[in-house]
Amino acid sequence: MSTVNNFINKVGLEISTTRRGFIKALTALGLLSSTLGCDRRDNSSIEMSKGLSNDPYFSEPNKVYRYGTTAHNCGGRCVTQAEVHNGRIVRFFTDNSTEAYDGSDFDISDRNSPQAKACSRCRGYKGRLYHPGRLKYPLKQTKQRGDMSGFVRVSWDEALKDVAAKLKAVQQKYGPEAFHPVYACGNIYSNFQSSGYKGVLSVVSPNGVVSGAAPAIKLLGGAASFVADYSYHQYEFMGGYGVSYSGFDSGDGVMAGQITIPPTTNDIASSQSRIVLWGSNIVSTVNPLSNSWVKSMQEMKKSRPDSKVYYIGPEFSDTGITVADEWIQTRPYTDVSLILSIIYELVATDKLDIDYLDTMVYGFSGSPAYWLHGKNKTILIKTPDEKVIKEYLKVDAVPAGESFLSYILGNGKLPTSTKTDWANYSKDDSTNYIARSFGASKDSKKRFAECSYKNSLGDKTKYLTKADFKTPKTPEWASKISGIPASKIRELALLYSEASEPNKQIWNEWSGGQLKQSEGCSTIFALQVLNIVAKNWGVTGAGIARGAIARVQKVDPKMINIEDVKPKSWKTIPPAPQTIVTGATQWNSAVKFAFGDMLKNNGYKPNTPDWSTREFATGKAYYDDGGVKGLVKRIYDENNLPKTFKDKNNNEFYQWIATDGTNVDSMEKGVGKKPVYSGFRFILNSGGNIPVNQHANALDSVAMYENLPTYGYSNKRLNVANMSDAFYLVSFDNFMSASPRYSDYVLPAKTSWEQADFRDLFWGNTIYQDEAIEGPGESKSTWDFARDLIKEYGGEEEAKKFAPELMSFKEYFIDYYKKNVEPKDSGSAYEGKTFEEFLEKPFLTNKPIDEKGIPVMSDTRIALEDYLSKKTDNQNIPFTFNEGLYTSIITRDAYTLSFGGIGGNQYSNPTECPNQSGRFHIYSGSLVWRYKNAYNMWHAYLSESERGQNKLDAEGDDIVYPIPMYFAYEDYFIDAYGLKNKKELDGRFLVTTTHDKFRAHSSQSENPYLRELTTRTVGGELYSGNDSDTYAISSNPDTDMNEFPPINSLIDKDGRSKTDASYASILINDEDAKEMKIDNGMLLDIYNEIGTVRVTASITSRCVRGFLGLHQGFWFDPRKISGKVVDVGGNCNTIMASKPSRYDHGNAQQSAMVMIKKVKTNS
Amino acid sequence: MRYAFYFDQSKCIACNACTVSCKDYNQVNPGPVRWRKQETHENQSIGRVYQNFVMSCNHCEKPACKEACPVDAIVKRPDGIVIINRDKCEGITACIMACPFSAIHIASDKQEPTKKESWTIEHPAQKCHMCYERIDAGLKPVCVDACPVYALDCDTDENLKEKYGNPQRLNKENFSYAYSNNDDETTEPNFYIKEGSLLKITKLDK
Repeated sequence: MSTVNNFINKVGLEISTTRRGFIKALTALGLLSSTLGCDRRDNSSIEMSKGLSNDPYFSEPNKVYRYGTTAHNCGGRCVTQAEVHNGRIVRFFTDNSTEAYDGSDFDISDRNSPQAKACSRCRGYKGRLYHPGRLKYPLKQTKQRGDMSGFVRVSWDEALKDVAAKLKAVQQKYGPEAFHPVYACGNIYSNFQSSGYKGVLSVVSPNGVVSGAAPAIKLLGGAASFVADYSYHQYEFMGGYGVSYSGFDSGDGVMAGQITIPPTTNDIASSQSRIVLWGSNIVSTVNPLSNSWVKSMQEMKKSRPDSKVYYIGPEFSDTGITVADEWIQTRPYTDVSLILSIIYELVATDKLDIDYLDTMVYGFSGSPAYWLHGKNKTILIKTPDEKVIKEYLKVDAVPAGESFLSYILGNGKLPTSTKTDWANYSKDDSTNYIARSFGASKDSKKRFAECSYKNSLGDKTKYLTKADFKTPKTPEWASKISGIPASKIRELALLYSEASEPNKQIWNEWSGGQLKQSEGCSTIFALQVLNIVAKNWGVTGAGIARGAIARVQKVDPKMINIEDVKPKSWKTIPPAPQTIVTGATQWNSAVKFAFGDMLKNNGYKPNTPDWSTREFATGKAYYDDGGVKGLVKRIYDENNLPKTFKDKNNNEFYQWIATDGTNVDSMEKGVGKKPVYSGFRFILNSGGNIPVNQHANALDSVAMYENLPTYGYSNKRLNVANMSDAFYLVSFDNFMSASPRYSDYVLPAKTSWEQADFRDLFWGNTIYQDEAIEGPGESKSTWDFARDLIKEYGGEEEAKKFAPELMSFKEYFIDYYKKNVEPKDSGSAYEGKTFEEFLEKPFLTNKPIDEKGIPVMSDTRIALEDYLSKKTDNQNIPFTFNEGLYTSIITRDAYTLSFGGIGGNQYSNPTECPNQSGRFHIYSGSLVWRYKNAYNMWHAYLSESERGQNKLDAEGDDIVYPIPMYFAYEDYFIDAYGLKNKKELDGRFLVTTTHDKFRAHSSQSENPYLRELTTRTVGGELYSGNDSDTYAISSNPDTDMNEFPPINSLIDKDGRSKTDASYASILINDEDAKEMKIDNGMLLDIYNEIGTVRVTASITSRCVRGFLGLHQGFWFDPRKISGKVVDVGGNCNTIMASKPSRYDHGNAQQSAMVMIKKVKTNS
Repeated sequence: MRYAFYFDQSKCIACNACTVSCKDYNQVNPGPVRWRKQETHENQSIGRVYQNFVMSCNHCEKPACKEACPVDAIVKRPDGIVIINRDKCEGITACIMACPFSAIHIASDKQEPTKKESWTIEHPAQKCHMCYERIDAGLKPVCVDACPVYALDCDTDENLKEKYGNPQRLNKENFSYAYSNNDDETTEPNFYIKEGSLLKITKLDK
């Protein structure tokens, strides 16, 4: 029997042992206590008890233990164990395994220990499960969206009938693309219940293809899919730190493990010595990694006293406190300036290896166009003969003034200290592959020139970025921007200059916070470029990744395979129509694309200073987003693929349907016709808070919902005659948080512990989580909801395809278990065990492997070193990524053209995209091309000049560039806030909104066990959060809905605290606070052109000056105070502008510039 | 033999698994009463800028609370664990005044809405009792079992000293913030600590 089972038994035995021991102790101490009846309340409130061990909770004879893990999206997925008494969870334990699946014992505190111990988020789960605000009954809006008094209780039957009918009506008129199960991650990593991201209601397959959508969505007529997510949109657009524009690879594919080779905990402990954390907070956000991180880094410091962990960031995270040796303070969003100046310093001190750069890096300096032979990798400067031209790939020139070197030099002059003759270097040097091949060209001398990127207005430009084109990117320049002393930048340059030496490789840990701003893409690009230039790759522990320091463990091959569990009928469901795949964050623009004219007529005004009402209309996309512009009604073939046609230039486009019903299958047929604007008209929000809370600019979203057309409501202004022409928002969720409040239907969902499911544990295996308790009221599991909705939508036979014999998932799985797992010869780890026995430990603990980490060098790096040291003259070597004829070159570092496309295709003219050279790219023509041509295959209904995306900024210059530039953060805010120039930003604070360790995004924002650790009363006290009876109380149909309280009912109409209300707190630097006479716990309004939040000050030295830290995920809770809306809930998205990030039109939303106003309080 | 807590400041990640699991396990409702508290102290000394700190009742050798209680509601078990007999407590609060570490609390109606029949008063004093029922069963207190980074331990004084190489005992000189209520240094807390690591800060250039 496993040790875990021993533990269970021990706790079980505790009934008697504890009781005996306790009575003995009492007798010994002369104490006697009477045993009281249990204070058991109904399901609607948190269990109240006395906290004494003679409580009946300790002597309950009918307790059972059930394992599970989190449903929320916290990055963790630790193991928890619920103690259940008579159908009620009384307390939680965590994973105390000490025995691996094969029976071997392990040291639980070891860095490779497979334990996944829960943090506060799961230990406090009772506060969520038994919160009185849990949704219990289906509700239907009858007045106006957002009017809480308009919700009435309806039966599930009525709700499902309505929802199915409306969904069908919208799909029929506007196509499947008008239905959008919006990104939602409240139940992520679930396999059979999950929300609108992964699981049964997901519309996204791993490659973004709708045919791979979950079976339920296929049976509901198909829907518009999305690509990427709110966390890593820019990271995924750039191909991750993997197959990306730069070719800097850490991920899968043929070069796996060749460039970035993440260290294991064993490597950290025994062979690593240099770590740079770019603002990382892994130990809090990915709790299962906490012990392995802390332990391995402590061992590193013990074994190598010269080792060092740097932390660079504006807010010093818990991870920094525990593992960093030095905190280099910096202003947020300025990492690229730091990186540019480090590389400038490497030029100034002659620390760069030009042979290496010439051989393997494209675009560091200028280079002529050339032709690369697909097989032998020889280079031709002249166009090859027509007979053999197909064997070659053309690589474009890098104009001297556009090279990375020219940009960092700015004025075209080398630093005076530089001794290297960059201009004339080594054209005849025999080791220099590219340079030698360039010998025939005069252009090879033009490595750099004055930076030639266009700035039409010169000194008069309002954009700081362009004004700096010709400025040398010196450490002094970067110091002014980032706040890091120039001397420290030079020290970092020295550190990176040594990175290619043995045992001096640097492990770079990036963080999600770097991406949640306008310029995440260039930050990712620049970080890779730093590692490329410093030759910090190809050796264990060199490179860059996030959360990749892995424990070394083995997974039991005999665990239950999720794919096998999936009903066989799922495979027979035909694919849904393959719609366009827009960016995950573009749904809001897609709603406006569909309803722009109606919204305007209904009185909606965008809360987006950079999108005037004049430009706002049906058929217009915010920032001219190519994906949104593609959302017009399509024609699908027998395989449910959208039909295409070719124009006279042989470019391919998707067909479209005109308002008069014409199938437009040629350019000519479309002349003078208008498309049916599908946009997004029916949004299913399943287990998420994106529609209001978690999307930038909550006030704008609210104004939009309040003015979108309704069907069947009493409000005449918004009412439309046809069911198909209204907008619908349907939320299936646990609480009446902001997004459900603006929904047409609110349906109660079960959550973790209430629904049977298989979940993915953090370390690669699965756990079956049983229904330990019942859900509140009439709440349904996601499986049951999907099944019942399909039944209404398509009939019982269709529903059976989803849920065999209409079974619940638990019924289905028990049946599966008995047939496939329990039999003695099943080959499963559980063979011969009954289902009840299986429940005792429904997951398998991995086996840790401790060994000394010995760094390895990749084949690519070895080949390069051999080449550079003249050991080989073979040009056909891996550093030109040479598998096959071009294929590797085109598909790997050339990037995945499929981001947002179907089967890799969203461009009408993909052959025009600049080719990749097969070397590391510091200059990427394809990056610019892709931006400009995004989704143009879907744009046949537009004129040629309107296809793709807006290419020029307000001054007529380029928006995107082929090299990683420092885009001044001020430029984003100037545009997003509609300002004239930078002066209007003077004196403002920069806000970032990192994850809070006491929430998972907005999940658990309601949980009193966690609220009391992160919210504060006026005056600054923590532990004030015992507000389960006053916070998020909702949807009790037995009470008068007109009295529906705000989310925090302790905060009055005037935004002030009635009594001990608990507000979100914001981090402010102690010196700033002193200067501004702000006391700890003072109530502040934080505001900008977008909105205002009310928060309490939390004074700390853990953030830099000029910075405010408002952790994301607090619930939007608006009050109208003196004519202005103030969000007293402190939701960071109330002050976030809508403007998307630059390259990918993704998520720029965790950055803001704000002003501070003190709020007078009653006391 | 006496039981003591051990805390490794250099490992703590301030996740609060210990404090939340304590409330969950012992059925303490959310609210100001907490038996264990985590704080990150700032700017304490040169080098040790940020100090994560987790503390509950220290089950002192000479518990000031016990001495202060006129109705003998506080007892010390032979194994050193200090327990409040809530039935006997009369709400005099002398114990609260006496404890240098602010370990003893009295709940409000909101946090403790129901009075137990055996109690003399509405809200008798309460604090950490080292999960003695778990210790009696051969288990560690729930906070110790909860810690994901093994920064907390609880064992006999001798075992802790052996395991952690004579760690320093809680003292006012290095941990002044622990003495949040008064300066009584005579209680001999059964709490051992390993101090956190050193940090250098390169401050923002203005």
